[in-house]
Amino acid sequence: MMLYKISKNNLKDYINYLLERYEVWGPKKINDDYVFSRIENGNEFSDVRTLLGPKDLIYPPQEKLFENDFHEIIVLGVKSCDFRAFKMLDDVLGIDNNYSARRKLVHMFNFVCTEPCEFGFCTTFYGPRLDDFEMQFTDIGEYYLVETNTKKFINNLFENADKNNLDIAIEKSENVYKKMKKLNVEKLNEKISWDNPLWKEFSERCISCGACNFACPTCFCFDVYDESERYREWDSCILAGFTRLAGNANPRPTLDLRLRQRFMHKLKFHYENFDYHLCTGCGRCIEVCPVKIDIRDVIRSVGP
Amino acid sequence: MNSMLPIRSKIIDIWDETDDIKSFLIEDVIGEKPLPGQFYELSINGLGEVPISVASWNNDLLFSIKRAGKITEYMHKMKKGDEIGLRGPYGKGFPITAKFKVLIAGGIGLPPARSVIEYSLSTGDKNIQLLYGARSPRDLVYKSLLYEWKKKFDVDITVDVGDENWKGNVGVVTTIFNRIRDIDSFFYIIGPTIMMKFAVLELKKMNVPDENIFLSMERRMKCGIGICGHCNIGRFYVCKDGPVFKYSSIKDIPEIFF
Repeated sequence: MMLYKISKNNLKDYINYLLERYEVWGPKKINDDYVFSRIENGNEFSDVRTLLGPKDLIYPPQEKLFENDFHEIIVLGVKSCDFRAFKMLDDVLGIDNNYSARRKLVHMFNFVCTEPCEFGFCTTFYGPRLDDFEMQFTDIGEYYLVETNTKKFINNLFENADKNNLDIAIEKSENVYKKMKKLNVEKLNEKISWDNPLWKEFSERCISCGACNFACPTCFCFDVYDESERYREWDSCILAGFTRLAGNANPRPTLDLRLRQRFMHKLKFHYENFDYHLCTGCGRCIEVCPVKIDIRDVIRSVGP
Repeated sequence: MNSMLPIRSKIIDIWDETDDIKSFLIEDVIGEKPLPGQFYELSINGLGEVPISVASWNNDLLFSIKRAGKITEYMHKMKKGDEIGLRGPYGKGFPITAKFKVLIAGGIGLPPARSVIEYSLSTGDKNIQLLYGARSPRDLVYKSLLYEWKKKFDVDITVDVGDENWKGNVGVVTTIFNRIRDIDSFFYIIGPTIMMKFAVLELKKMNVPDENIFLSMERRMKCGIGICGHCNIGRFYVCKDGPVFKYSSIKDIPEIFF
């Protein structure tokens, strides 16, 4: 592991340096919102947690299935929740050509959170620091500490950093652990049940909008459809048509069964297949839900 | 190679089985011999794909397809020589075993059962019995083949509603369960969900162990390779971990029958 630091005053120049060599994306202010966008000038980048993550840069909401036009990009300001979600998606979509081609060409620079976000509960699973990354930036005051395994993206704007700088970076990230409530997910896959009363309760207010699926960095389900060519499109397990068969038979005809599927897939089924929950605690599904359905309530419902 | 890219193939022959079921003989351009119970995605450019279990294979692949949605409706209008996309074989089929096998097929469930029968007969294994139920005598598929099979092993047929010429059993498939030759068999059940549910219930009454019951499940399988998420039942993907499941491995999942 190599340690560097870069002065915050130099970050803009560094991004301009990257822009001369790569296509760069990152959170950018558009009207009142921060959105992962194409960065065209170093001062457009903001180190903030966005409402929607960068999932679409590797797995677009809609794409031609047999398209083969991919190029190298850098994504700045990725948060650990989104980065870890890609690691999870790899286990499912890794055999998909489009996904894996982009995955190899997209470099993600993690910007460590030093304050908890309003709905996040990432410390329940992993927390804000990564141990596997290309470039990891942590705000340590006047500087960003930069941890990396590669010199590929290092230039003369970087200075060498030492163990003390790393200790400060770790301490900064621990602030998130201190302020964020950790939930108990031990044996959750065994404790969560098919007949949890929450499924019915949620179904009484869910409006089947699918925003939870759309905002989720780990949701991977897609539909395939033909127009002039074959396309695929993100799909939502909350929608009635998701499982509908020819002749209108439907294994999940009611909303409570579909909500059950969503939560049990994340917290039980995927866990049983891969040994981890299909959730990074990013809190986005909670934030976007118009009727305040909260995955934390599911986790809390099975025990303290 | 894109994992979801269909291979261009050709329809060698088409014929009617019933009013709403046609058989398609398709050139096996992939050449990977399927196992009984496996399926292919058949693809029509500009329309989409349908997962269909293989009914038989020699040098070519046989699929018997019921007209049920817009793609199968289009396929029923296709002609000999037309181009069709093919990818597969996918999933896990029925166990290959010398043990006695009781095949319980309902309606369009007979084509996958045929793959088991032909596989067994090709290896000289006649340890099979077929119990087949259809809506009416008009809806029976493979009529002449059923007659051939009767000379080689036990075949019992029932229909929900008979007609003036029907002399066989009338009733759902469980009404001919008294013809089961050996309770210590493997039971392969293929058919509509309601039929599978009652067949399992009946077998359980006869004390057949869960490990000896195998079900071919039907779900909306879009990708066929376990990534699109549509065919989940519990932690399984029907396209990849099935479509054939041992009953004991899925019996605790409340949504297996619907």
